Amino acid sequence: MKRLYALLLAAMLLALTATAALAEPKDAPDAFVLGAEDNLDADIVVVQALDMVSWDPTNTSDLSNGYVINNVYGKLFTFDADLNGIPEMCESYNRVSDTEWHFKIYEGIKCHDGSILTADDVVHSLNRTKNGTAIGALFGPVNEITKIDDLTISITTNGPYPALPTALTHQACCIVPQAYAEAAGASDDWSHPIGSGRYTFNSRLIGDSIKLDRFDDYFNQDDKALNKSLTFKVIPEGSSRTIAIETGTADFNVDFNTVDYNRVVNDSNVALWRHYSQTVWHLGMDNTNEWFSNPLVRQAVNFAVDRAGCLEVGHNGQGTVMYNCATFAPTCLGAIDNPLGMYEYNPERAKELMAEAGCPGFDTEIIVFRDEAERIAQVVQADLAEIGINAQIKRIENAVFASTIAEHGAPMFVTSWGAYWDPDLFLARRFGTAGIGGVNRVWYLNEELDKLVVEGRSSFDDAARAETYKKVQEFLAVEAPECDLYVSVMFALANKDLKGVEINVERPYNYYKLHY
Amino acid sequence: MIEQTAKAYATRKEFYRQFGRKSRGAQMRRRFLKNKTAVIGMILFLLIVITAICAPLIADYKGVAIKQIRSERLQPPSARHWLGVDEMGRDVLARIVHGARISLVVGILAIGVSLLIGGTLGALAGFYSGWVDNVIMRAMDVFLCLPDVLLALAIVASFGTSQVNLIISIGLAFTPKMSRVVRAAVMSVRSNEYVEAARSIGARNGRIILRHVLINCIGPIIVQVTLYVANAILTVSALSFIGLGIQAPTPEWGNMLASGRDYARDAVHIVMAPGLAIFFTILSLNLLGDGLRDTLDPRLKQ
Amino acid sequence: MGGSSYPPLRAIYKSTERVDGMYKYILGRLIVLVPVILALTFVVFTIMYFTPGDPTAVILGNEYSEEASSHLKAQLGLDKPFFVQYVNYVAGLCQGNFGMSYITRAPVGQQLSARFPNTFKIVIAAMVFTVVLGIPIGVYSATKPNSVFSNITMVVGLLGVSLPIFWLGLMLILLFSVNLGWLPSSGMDHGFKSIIMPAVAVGANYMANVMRTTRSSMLEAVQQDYIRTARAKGVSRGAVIRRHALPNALMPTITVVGMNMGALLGGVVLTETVFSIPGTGRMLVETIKSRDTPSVLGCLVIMALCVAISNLIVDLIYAYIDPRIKAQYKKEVAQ
Repeated sequence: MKRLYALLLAAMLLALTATAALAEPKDAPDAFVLGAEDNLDADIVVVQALDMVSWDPTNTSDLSNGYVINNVYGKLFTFDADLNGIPEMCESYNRVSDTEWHFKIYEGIKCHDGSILTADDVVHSLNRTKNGTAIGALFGPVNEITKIDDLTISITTNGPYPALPTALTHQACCIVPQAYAEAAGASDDWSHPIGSGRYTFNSRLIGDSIKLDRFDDYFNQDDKALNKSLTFKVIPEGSSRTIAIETGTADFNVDFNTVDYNRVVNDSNVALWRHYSQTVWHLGMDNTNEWFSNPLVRQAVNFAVDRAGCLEVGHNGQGTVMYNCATFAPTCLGAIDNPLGMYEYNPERAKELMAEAGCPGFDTEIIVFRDEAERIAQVVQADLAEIGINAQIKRIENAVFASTIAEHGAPMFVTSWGAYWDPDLFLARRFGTAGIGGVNRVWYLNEELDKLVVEGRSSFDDAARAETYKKVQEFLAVEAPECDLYVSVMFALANKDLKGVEINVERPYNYYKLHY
Repeated sequence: MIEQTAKAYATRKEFYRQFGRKSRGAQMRRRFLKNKTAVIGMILFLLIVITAICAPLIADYKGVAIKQIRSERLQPPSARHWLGVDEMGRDVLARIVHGARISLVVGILAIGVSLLIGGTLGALAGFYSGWVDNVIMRAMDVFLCLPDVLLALAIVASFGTSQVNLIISIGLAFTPKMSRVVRAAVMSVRSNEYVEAARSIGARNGRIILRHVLINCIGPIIVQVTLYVANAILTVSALSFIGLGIQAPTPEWGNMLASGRDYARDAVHIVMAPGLAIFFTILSLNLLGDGLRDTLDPRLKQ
Repeated sequence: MGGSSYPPLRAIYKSTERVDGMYKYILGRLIVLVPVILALTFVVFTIMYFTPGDPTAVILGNEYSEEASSHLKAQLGLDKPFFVQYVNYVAGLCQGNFGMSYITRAPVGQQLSARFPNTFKIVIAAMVFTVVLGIPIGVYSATKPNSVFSNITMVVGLLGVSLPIFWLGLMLILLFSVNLGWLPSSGMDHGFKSIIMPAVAVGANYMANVMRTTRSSMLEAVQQDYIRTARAKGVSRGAVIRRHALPNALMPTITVVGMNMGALLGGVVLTETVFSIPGTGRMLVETIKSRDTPSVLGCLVIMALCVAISNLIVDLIYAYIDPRIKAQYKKEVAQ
């Protein structure tokens, strides 16, 4: 009898796993192997939700922008699936001392205009990056960028900066040939970019599409584009992006709308790929605001929001709820899930904190610029109403988000942040003095935290650094400058025959490998 | 002569009954009631208005219309939720019913605004003609080069999107059209004898316009107002649909469509209900407008 | 007068005079257009000028600071008084310069010329759809006023004028793209196939409108005395309709079609949003949301020009058909 039960149970389990396997997306590999029969002359169409912003790399840190301009400009370092830096145009590098690095580029790197890239171009370009504010804080520790010889540059920092190679993967570190940068800067016309990347610029229709052609003289012939041309289509509506893949009008959707999850996961005509992510959806608060300047009110918000509800309506339940206040995705260096075990969904505790803060409730605004964020904001809005905070949701265009923040026009906002594995690459920018006017959107200022950030980068030993970052998370849990909601699973929807799909922790990437 | 005779009778109605003639109002009522589509339109519109007024009785705003019950998200229509549940877990019927309030209030008040401004300008232009007419109407011509939706878009962009601003924006957007309608109506009666008569006994212009001219050209104006209210309601929902009107979670048919469109493939009821709500409201006003035109302005009979 | 020295050829004389008068009429109307466009830009410029929000904050984004802002203001001429800014804008406009977009830093004219063709295609397709379906159905149902067909068209017409464009668009996508897979759901990459649904969505209202107008004016026309006279003289029914009733009945239809240009352009804003079409309509919505004043102005000026020009064309057609108006412009020419 027992055996029969066991058999039955086993059969049921098997059936369960079988059905589960049917309805599961494919896991995107970290690397794939090229087959002999593959067609490398396809025209690939990638759809995304938002348009790029500018061909000037120092202009913005917008994701949709970075993953387009990456293809046209080369960088010293590119990133792997965990967003760690790996050499691209950099042939070799070495740390001369704790504060000085040497980077040597390959010889004979050809630009799209036929010129050869030199150390002068790299120095000029990185100095532009340093002086721009798009990633100001990332280059905060950088003292000087100088040329050593025709192929080598030196970067000195004001202390140990272990994350420097990874910092160099940021889109603002795209190397723009000096001649082009100067000409474009003078005329303020960046519309016809020249770089040394895998693709040459063909054409762009603002708000609609960007067309790139394979650059056959790419310096690394072993790693050049596996498709003939790459077209980016901007389709703002989520379901239209899905339909575009289903009907074959496009090959690859990098902004998959999880609303369609159940539909496509069972559809054998398309392939849904997934990868864990470090994209943290969070509710930001302007810490200089009348009420949000009070840590108790910020804590109350952290208790009041039902994160599971946010995840369900925001990403159809595809993700992991998190109780962090410092955008440490669970896979980041030193991440703890719930620092001090402080938070849970507890409206009663939130009300107590509001009373403790002497806050009678108030009116405010939640700024959003994407559909998911707007849905999350509606959950947040309902939850906050319970503790007396009456929030209006205001939807804006993504292009004006930065300026809205700059004008203190976003007392609350819902958006996502793609965290690096190395917290040093986001902590100072997101919560430090250096990030003010940049991506310190919550306007959080605290000298103690600034010190902890410096402490975190002062060592090359990961275990020691993890300890420091634990302290940081606990410190910020009490301070509660923002309310992290969940980490979403990263998806990409593709034609079922499309090969070369790769996804990193913030977005599908390496579109140059897409082929049939 | 007849009027004098009429005094001998207790009331005007009695007189007419005696002589087999109906009062003007009764005549019109009969003509209107004979027009089947017009009556259907009126009944439909009255139903919508009553629903809007009774919305809180049908479903509580805080407790149902904006209450999110996550476990019931995207449920199709059922006995519990007649029109299903939306993507946030809110009852669609409650939102449709409360949405009617927004649409009707904004639509009607916006046309009120345009009637106030456009009507005044149009009446002045039509009554005085000459340079007044020229100045006002040339100015209106300029605005008429922009479709009303675009004009409303531009104005709402500068005012910001609140309910009051929407009313003003849409009202202003319909002002040029309204001034044309009123002007034409005023001009058609301006040279009638009774106006001349009033003028000859020394009545002031303001009094003439209000007491004699407007009263007599109210017919075509009412017809157009009905049709413009339909247009204004459409404009509200259009603006909300493209994100420049009423913002979530306030239920408005246009923003319900916009936020539901991503789910439309799997839960078609989410976009069906608000779409049909807009459709029936516009239809009722169009039917009513057509019926009124046939009644009040028989020359234009379609 | 051009042809007056050739009195024997009366026909030529008449036609050249007409053409000549027509030119003057068009010229006159075009000249009138200039102040209209000027006034319009003034209105739109004023609205946008007083729109709250600092354009330099939008441009600078992350790099915003008081200093950078005032520097940029000086560079863009935004520190000048209102009227100077307006005059500068109009001066640029006269040279075909629509200014630079605040967001993309690209010339607005360049974007307009890339996007306007898409809008134009949809509007033209919608007009063709409106006319090709609306007029014949209207005429046919008027010739058989009490038939089943006529009653059906009446009902369809009534329903048609009440359909919201954006909802119709969504329903068309659900039916023809999602369920049947016949037509693309977004964009303009598939030539004619891409235009069908947006044009139908935006044109449905006006098709119904044209149909109703044609039907009612046709019904009125066939009751006129001259039609009865012609019938009495033994002219066939078809010929009467074609030669006598139709030209007269079409007058109100032309007005409706022409006036629809403005409404169509308003509808295009919605249709382009629903179908993700890169046209001036969607550009307008996007740029309004991002407070990109030069782009908003550019879109509105282009659309207003379209409306003004289509009004002009309608007037010309009117003048060509209606002898009374013809007489009027002849008189103008004579003066």
